[in-house]
This record gives sequence, C-alpha cells and structure tokens, in this order.
Amino acid sequence: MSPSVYRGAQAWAIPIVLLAVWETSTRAGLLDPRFFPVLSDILVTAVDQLVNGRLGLDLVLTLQRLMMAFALAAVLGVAIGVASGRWRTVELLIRPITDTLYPLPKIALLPLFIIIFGRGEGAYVITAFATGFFQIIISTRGSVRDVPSDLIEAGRNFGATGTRFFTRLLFPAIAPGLLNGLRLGMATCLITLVAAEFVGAEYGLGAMIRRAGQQFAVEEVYAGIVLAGVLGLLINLAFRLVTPIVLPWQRPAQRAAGGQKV
Amino acid sequence: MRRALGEKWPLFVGPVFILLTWELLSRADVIRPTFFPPPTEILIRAGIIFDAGSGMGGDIIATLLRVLATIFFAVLIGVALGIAITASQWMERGTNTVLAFLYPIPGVLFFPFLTFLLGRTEMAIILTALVTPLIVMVLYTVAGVRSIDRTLLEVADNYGADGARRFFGILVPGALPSIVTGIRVSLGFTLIAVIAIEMVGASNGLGQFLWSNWQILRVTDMYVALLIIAVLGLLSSVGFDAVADRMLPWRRDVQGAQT
Repeated sequence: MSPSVYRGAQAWAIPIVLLAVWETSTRAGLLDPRFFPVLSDILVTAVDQLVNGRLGLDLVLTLQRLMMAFALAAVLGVAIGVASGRWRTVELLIRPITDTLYPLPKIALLPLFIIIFGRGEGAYVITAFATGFFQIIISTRGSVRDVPSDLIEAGRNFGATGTRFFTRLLFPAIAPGLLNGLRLGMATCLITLVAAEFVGAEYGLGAMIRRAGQQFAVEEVYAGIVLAGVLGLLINLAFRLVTPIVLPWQRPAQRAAGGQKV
Repeated sequence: MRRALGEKWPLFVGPVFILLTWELLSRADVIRPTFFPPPTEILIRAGIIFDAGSGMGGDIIATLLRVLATIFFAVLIGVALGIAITASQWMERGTNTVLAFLYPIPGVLFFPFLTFLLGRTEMAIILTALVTPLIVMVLYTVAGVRSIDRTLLEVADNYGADGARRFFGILVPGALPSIVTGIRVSLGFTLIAVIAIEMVGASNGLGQFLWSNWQILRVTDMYVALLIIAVLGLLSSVGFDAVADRMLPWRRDVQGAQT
C-alpha cells in the first residue's frame, strides 16, 4: 500500500467502524430508538426535509447570514489587523478593546444586538460577525508581526513603498497565515451563528434544531447536527481548494502543515 | 516607569473615548437612554451583585461552578484520552477525523438531545457544555505528546519507564505546555457554552439572568450581566495567561507554535 492510501485508511477506519456499529446496533434494537434513531433514517430525514420540508429554507437563510457576517468580518478584520500589526500606536489604541471583547462570549451580546437592530436579520448577522471579526484581527496581527524584519528591510531597499509595500511585499508574506486566520474566522462565525439561531431565531439551522427538540423529533435534531458538521467540513474544504490558487508558490507539503493547524 | 506610561498613553484613549461618547450621547438623549443607559448608571446599578434580593450573586456562583465543573472534567478526560490515543496511529488518525467533524458543531446543539436523555438537570447542562472543551483538550494533548522529543521517549523506553511512570514522568510533563494552552482555549469555549445553555434552558446563572432581564426590558440589569460576563472572559484569557506564565515560565516559547 502506498503511504497516502495507508494514511487514508488510518484516518477513516475508526469513523467507518463507529458508523457501522451505530447502524447495526440501532437496527437490531439494542439502543433505545427514541433517543438513538437508525443512522440511515437520519440521512433520509435530512434529505427529505431538505427537499420537501422547511430545512432547505433554514439552510439557505443560515448560509446567507454566514456569508454576510464573514464578508464583513474578513474585510474589517484584515484591515484593522494589518494596521495594528504594522503601527504600534494603532495596536495600543485597539488593544484594550480587543482584549476585552475577544474573550467575551458573543452570544451574550445577542440580546443587545436585538435591541439595536430589531428582530430582523441584522442581529444574527452582527453576532456572528463580532465573533469572526475579533478572531481575524488577532490572527492577522499575529501574521503581520511574524514577517521577518530583514524581509521588510530588503523589500523597502528594492523600492517596495507606499501601496506597493502592501500589495507586493506584505500581503504575499502574510498570505498563508492570513488564509488560515480567515478559515478559523469563518468557522467561528458559523459556530456562533448557529448557536445564536438556536437561542433566539425563528428560522435557520439552529432554530430548526431547537424547534425539532421541542417537538421531540429526534431524527430531525440529529439531521440538523449532522448538517452543522457538514457545513464546518465544507468551510475547511473550500479553503483547501482556494489555497493553491491564491498561493501557487507554496509547496504542497507546507500547505498541508498549515492546513492541519486547529 | 514614567517613560513606559508616556509611550502607552494610547492604551487608554480607546476605552475612555468610547465610554465618554456613550455617556454624553445617552445623557443628551441622542441615543435612547432606555436602551443605552449611561455607563455610570450601569456601574452604580452593578451594586445589585451584592443585593441578596436580586439573586444575582447566586447566578454568578451558579455560572462559575458550571464553568469550573466543565473545565475540570474536560481536562481530566481530555488529557487521559488524548494521551491514550497517541499509543496507536490508527486510533489517533481515526479520532482526529471524528473530532474534525464534531469540532465546528456548536456544543449547545446537543442540549435538546441530552435533555431527552437526562431531563432538564444540571448533568445535562454540564455534559452539553463539555462537548467542545473536551474535543479541544484531546486535540491539544495529542499535539503536545507529538511535540515531545523522540530521543526523550527512546531514552525512557531503554531505561524501562513504562505504565504509570511513562505516563506521569514523561508524557504528561512533556505535553504540559500544549495542555495549558488547550485549557485556555477550552475555558473560552466553556464560558460560551455555559452562557448559551443558560440562556435557553437553565433556571439560574448569568445567561438566564441576561436573557430574562432582556425579555422584560430591564436593560440596565442586562448590561450589568454583560459587564460581569466580560470580566469572566478577561479572567479566563488575560488572567489565565498571567497565572500560567508565572507557573510555567517555559510555556511562552512553545505557545507561538500552538496558537
């Protein structure tokens, strides 16, 4: 067996065994079906709800909120992160604010945002935005700091000043760290968004799980949780596909190492 | 000292500017004081923490106990599990796939399911809160064990360190810097999960206090709860770092590689 096939086998053996055990033990009635529905039934429910039920609408709403929150967080977060990594005064100005708000659970701000923006889309988008925003500021700042100073010196001597400094020197230098930060930022956006929907929204993936829970629709609860996990995997996959396009000069081995970071 | 202060003046500009603008706009009725009470009023109102009638002291203690219980179990189970699975590549890689799938799922989503099983009990709250921190602890412990120098492990093998001695003598201390960083990350997730669960399904705690005061539009009390949650967040990050750096001075060198 080639090493990569072997690694793949190692990565998937346990998950597949677990899924098989789940499927057979629930089919055989070893586990209480009220709490542990049959795996294939969960998948059937998920597909059925997506096609016929409200789940499709919920999912589209969640994705739409996620995109808005992430786009806003990425643009503002990278801008502020680069500024505070580059200039010490900016760093000192925003440091107390990021230090206080970064560890604050953003879900606790949901009531406040509902007061400000009303019960519309705004409150959920902003709650998710707030999570990704601080995450992206902090990781971008870190990548800017990690750029070796001799690289900056050399670049300046070769005439990378003004806007060229950012487009030709700084962004290529921080790109790997930046992409990793954006990936993490998008994942945290998703986590907070679904949690916020669970707590206080009428529609959306999180709200659907809450609703199903109140109606004791166990299969739908599971279907929702599986979908949330799949969305998280899709984010990772998307960044893995985008990375070689944005960073053609990076060797695959380096890329894998960068992508593995949690 | 004076020079350090002279250089660090911008540190105070941000917060002072925001709080002052908020205070003035609110006092001048530009933003509605019913929704945005002036910060000074919130601070004065914060006295209700010590007022037994408001029950807020009890809510703070309830939240703190939940956070501590969750992190305790997350560390205990997560470190043991993390070290155990590094014994086999099949276990490690396989678990990694499972955890990569579970990690981006907000822990609070497991709450309905766990309340089916356990009812609306404290146990259901803690188990729900435990999901994400446990995953984090396993991942950071595995990374910590992987970061131990191979030679160290081989020397230990040659001198016959096995079982408990290998576990407590080499694996745990070697992985400790990564484990400590994992605890810091877990604390953040624990706080998020506990507050979120309290908002939807607990009869006490800061999250419940926040949500119920928001629903009856007692906005000032809501801000007091937010303030305390912010303080807890600061303690879990900046405060934790201060303590950890003192106890494990060598951690700083490793930290960069982890976060």
